[in-house]
Amino acid sequence: MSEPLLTVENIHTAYGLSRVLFGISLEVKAGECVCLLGRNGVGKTTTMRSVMGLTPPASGRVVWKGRDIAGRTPHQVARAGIGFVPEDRRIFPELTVWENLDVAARAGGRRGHWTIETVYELFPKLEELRNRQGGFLSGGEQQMLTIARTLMGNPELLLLDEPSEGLAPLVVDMLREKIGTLRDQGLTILLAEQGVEFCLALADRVYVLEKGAVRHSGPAAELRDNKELREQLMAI
Amino acid sequence: MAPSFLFSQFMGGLTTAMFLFLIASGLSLVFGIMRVINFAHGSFYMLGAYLAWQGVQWFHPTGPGFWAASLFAACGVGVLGAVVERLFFRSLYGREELYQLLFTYALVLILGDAAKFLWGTDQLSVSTPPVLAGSVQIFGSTQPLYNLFIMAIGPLIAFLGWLVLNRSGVGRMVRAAQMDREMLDALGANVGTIYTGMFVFSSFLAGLSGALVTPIQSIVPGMDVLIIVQAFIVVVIGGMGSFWGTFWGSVIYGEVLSFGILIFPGFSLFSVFALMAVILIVRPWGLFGRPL
Repeated sequence: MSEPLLTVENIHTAYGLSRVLFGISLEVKAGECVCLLGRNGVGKTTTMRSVMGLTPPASGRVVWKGRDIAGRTPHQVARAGIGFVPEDRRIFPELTVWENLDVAARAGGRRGHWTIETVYELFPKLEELRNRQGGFLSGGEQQMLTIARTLMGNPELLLLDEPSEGLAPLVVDMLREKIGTLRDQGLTILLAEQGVEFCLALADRVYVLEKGAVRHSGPAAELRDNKELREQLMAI
Repeated sequence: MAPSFLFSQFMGGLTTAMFLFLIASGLSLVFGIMRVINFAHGSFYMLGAYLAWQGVQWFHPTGPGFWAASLFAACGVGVLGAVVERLFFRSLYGREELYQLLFTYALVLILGDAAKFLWGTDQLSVSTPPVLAGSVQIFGSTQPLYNLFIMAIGPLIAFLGWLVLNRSGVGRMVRAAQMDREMLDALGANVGTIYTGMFVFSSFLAGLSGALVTPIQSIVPGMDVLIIVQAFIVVVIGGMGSFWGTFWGSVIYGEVLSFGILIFPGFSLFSVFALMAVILIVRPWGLFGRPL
């Protein structure tokens, strides 16, 4: 069958002396939406940062389209087609919405479907706010902007780190719908989530993480249908 | 006191100010964006002066060669900046300030001795380019044309710099790098290249200022340390990393020095230090700066 787009093989990652990942392996095929499910501190963010080259793994391989990219710098990884939407959003606070998007397009240097116009179509609210500074946006607006900003680099794989965190239920619903739209358009997504519901609404496959290792992996449908398994995994 | 005398003092202060602005803006830029305090910035300025002198000897010792020599000096120092950034500064980003100060201070000593070795310890001087050799009468005071030229070039660079930072794509990238280096990197920008570019630009400005000072000041060993102290005062008054802060800090420095000399003759630097102390007490991050 088709080669996975991204394969993570047995990576170990540490921040200084504190080890966080203990041999995580996973794969994402083109067009899939894969979810990393787990509580705070189990290594979801670190897995994404390891893929991105922001916190390079001490050992193991990160294979992107058949090439080992572990050890590459973040901008090389981004330019290879992996887009990262960080958990804390990291909007450039003193740049306007439009400037945030423009900087991302220049930084990414990849042309494709996503332009200022098409991200405004996806998030019409951002067009209304285009002259507002990033620091003056609400949490939900910042979350839209951080997703839109990463899309400006026209990634083939989107790493979405806890997009629903700290947002009001209505905003979370809206985001879930938008991420669903992206998935349906064929964008490959690796999503990190604490919320089971949010995760299962979007994902094709799920990896449940615990203490820096994969505890369970399987189709999302399995978790959706099997309440017992779900409760057992979530009780960790 | 006669108005023409006060005006003359004012213009003198402004010349000092705009001159210092050229130097201090590079220092402030590197700190504002890269968070590195480059103590060797004054040494780059000194090398600019020596290289300009050298260029004048090579190109045309009596005059018109001055502009070519200035450009040569600024570019030469820019190249030196690129080498220093790529080889050494790169490993200083994000380190403690102490390491930065130690390293850049070592650079001050090395470059200072290198200059003595290459050009000796005698005073060197460069004559004013013929086009700007004259003077004009304004409000009854005599103003050398060269001073007016310096006064014009400061605001010009300030305005161009502001325009580039706020209205161009490159400027937006630089501001984004200043706000969140890691995020910009993750979006695909090679921030290392942006940093090198900024450092080279800053060095270029230092070299250019060194070249432009040669018609009004003689070139001597020790001019590096003298200027870096002044540039630091300017940047501290205005606020480290703030472009307009550096501009107004320079104006305040120049004018306080110029008028302070009338009030406390012989203690002119005292008034500047006193002002800096007051500003640091009231606003420790400088007039236009932000709390770190």
